[in-house]
Amino acid sequence: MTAEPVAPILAATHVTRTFDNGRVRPLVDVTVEVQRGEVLAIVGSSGSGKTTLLNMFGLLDSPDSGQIMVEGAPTSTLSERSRAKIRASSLGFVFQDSLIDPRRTAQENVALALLFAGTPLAQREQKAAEALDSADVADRAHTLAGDLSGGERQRVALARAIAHRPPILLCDEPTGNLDDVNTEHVFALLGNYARAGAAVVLATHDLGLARQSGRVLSVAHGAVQQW
Amino acid sequence: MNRVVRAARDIVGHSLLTLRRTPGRAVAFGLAAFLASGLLAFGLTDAAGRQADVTGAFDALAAQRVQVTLPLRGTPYQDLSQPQMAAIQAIPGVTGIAWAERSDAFVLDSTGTVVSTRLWTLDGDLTLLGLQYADTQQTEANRGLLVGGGSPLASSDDEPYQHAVVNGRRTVVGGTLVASAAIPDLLDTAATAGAGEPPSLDSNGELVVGVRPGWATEVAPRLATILAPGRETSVLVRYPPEASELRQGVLGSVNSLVLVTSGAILALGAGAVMVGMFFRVLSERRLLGLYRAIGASSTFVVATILVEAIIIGSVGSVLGAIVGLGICAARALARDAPLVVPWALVCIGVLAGLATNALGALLPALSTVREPPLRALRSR
Repeated sequence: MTAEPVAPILAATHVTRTFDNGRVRPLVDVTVEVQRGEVLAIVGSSGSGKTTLLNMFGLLDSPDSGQIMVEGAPTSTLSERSRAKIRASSLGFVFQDSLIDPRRTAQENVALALLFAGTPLAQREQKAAEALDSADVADRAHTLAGDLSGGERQRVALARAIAHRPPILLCDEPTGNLDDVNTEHVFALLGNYARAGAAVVLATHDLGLARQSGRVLSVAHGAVQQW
Repeated sequence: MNRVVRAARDIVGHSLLTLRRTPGRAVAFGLAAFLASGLLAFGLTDAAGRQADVTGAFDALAAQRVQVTLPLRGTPYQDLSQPQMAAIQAIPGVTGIAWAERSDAFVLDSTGTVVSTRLWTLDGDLTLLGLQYADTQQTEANRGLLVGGGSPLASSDDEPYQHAVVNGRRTVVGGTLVASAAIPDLLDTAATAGAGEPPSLDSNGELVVGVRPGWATEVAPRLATILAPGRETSVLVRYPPEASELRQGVLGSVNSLVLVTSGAILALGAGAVMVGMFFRVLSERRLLGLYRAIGASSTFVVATILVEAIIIGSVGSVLGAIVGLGICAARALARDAPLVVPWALVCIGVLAGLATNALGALLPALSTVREPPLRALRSR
């Protein structure tokens, strides 16, 4: 008896994305599938297309051809409103250079994602506190984001991304500006989140970090290869 | 709880938090709304107060007659004597005197119908009464019966100039009155020219004194002194309303100017808010892109920018209106003048200010959500 194949939670099927009237072709006929509980690292040199793939997984960008499937549903024909709903409920983002609102406290930043995900007001504070705790920055909950260190900001960004417990977590260079200690810390958090049943996709040029991931894909010259 | 109410609460909460965390920007925008609303409230109220001031002076300057309603309670005299008449005539600026006494009468027309009516007996310089007749050729009162155009006598089918009997005295119908500047009551009654009897100060009637334009304020107190020496304040000298049309014309043009200026102030305020909001969304372009990237809907982003503008506009406008009115009140107090507040205009002005603030914020807000979130995220 053979096990029934498990449907990927996130998939790019024959995706092509070009820029500058087709002169720049970071992704050509690329197919990638991501399973629940998996940490997938995408590596490649600067401009290779790893962030482009991540943006398409995150429904921030659309392929010229091919299909992005999120939780088994095709997304190519969705309106921006529907894409925003999926981003709010099913996806968590950690952007490059730990982008958070500097005028809000760490807890308020995390609560933003909960607000957009439709979490009732009464539960936001507690869930935000739990997310900050799991990202090990609970002690900075009431500090304005502008006053946090780079490592703390990155962990707050991670807490914001996982606060509403999305099944898919997308991270673009999540340890790019961090020292070794903070890098290890953040990567451990990502691993824990994947073990809890989510799919984690991270784009990085840190090969050491990538080797610790469950699976590594290399993006170069428009193609994606298992590494 | 209703989904819409929850969404509205979230939007307002988010906007309030943004305002708390960006006090400098809130104060700058609020100041624009404050200044616009304050100038508006001050301008409208000050204009209204000055118009009230001007109205009295204008009527006095423009009046061509002053008049006193009889009987005169404060006078020691029963009749106006010849020396008093001469003294009135001698007041600088006086052009003549007319008077009218009111009584009740029965008029028997040529068909034999008896009509009960009020009868005015007109005397002195009747040109001062500003009588106008249905027969456009007629300019002066004759000794016949003058029928008010709105009275039952005028509605009879009789031909004019037929015989009538007034209180037993035979007379002819001498004309139909269609206007009287000094005694509007004449139009609903009847009148006859008197025989030069001096006016009785303790009968019902009107004493009308003709004045040259600009002299009414000089004539009025001296007239009061002649009519009731020592008790001048008991004599109410009125300016008939013939100046009001001219005044309304002049003040109407001033009102138009005030309203146009108010509109310009509102437009400038809205322009300031719009420019400010454009800079605001430009400086927060990446942050607003982040919000949308992590799931904020376009509606949420637009609504929070609008609500922010409305909250700032409301606080600024209301405070501005209060301060503007307060300055007017202080000025009125200092000048010992009444405070005239055109509440309707001030309220409309404040509401219009709020609406223009919201409209001023709408365009920048819409421009923000038209941009794809990824492009906003990449901006610096």
